Amino acid sequence: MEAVAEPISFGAIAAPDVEEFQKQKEKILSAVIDRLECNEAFRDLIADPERARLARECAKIFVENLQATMKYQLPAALIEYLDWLRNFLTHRHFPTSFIPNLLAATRTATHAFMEQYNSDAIAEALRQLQQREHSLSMEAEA
Amino acid sequence: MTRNDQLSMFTEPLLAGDRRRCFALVEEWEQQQLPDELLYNDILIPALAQVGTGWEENSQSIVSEHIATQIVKQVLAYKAFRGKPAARNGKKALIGCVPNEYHDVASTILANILEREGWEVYHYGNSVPTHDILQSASALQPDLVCFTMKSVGSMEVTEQLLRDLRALLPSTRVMIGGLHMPGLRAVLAPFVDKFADSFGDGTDYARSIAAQPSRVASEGSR
Repeated sequence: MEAVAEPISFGAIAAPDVEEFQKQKEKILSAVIDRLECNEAFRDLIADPERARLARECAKIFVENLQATMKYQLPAALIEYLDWLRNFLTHRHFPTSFIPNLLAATRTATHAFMEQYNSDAIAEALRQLQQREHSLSMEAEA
Repeated sequence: MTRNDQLSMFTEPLLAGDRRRCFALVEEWEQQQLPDELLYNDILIPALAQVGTGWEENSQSIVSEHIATQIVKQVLAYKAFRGKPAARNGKKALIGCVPNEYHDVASTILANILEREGWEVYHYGNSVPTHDILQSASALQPDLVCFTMKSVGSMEVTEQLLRDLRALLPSTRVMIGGLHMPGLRAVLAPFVDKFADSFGDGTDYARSIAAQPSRVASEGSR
């Protein structure tokens, strides 16, 4: 559990960048959903209306939680949500790659819509979360 | 019969949405003088938690979960109706969820408990915007405001609500239940007098307020 237990760093994200993220939140969310829906690996998932609805809802709640987590510097809250979400989605037969792709899509969309601001620190926190998901799936398989 | 046996007896019809069976069990246990706290803490809440886990694990539909919640709310309404409150203690409590929080079973239980303790209780449940909560608090001048909150998603709106409430009614005590994460508590701590870890913990705090002379005079009505 060493890799899983490593703290995720939100400390380097500056307040103006969090404010800009909040302003661009709707555009970022829309881009995240588009990216997930266009992902060939999720074709079956998106073809199922109920699971497609859940995927969009999960993305929305994740982006909202990410914004609150950055503002209040509460990585534990976001990790708790991701842990809950992983269990929830597993029981609905979502591919294990869904959450890593959600994190990657959020990273890409953040870069795209925060051109005038520094999105690198946000991207780094998302990368660490992605790494954590990877470690957890490796542990689950072992 | 152990409390676990009673929990199993209640959970089974609750999962099946069998209202009459659930109501009959509550009535039977009432006749056996099962204390309300035990009903709330050891049966209703754990049974609902099992239903929630069933939904998370996709063995229960969202409709089943809502039906179970409604059954429990009706039991709580029955207990409120049947309850015999202690003599009024002269204190008022405003109770409900923070904006964007929809899980109001816990606040309903607390309303029942405080009313039985002699408090004048105003329980608004959920789905009330910040402005309206503040307006009601200003009009009621409560000694205690109790909020329930679970997720980080409600943080921004809750922080603003608590900040405004403290400015409006500085003498009113504020208690929050349902928030277990230390980081979330630390953010809200400047505006909160008590984070309740359980109904018993919250009740003890309310009793300590009730034992004091009222500090709320006519704040917020200016």
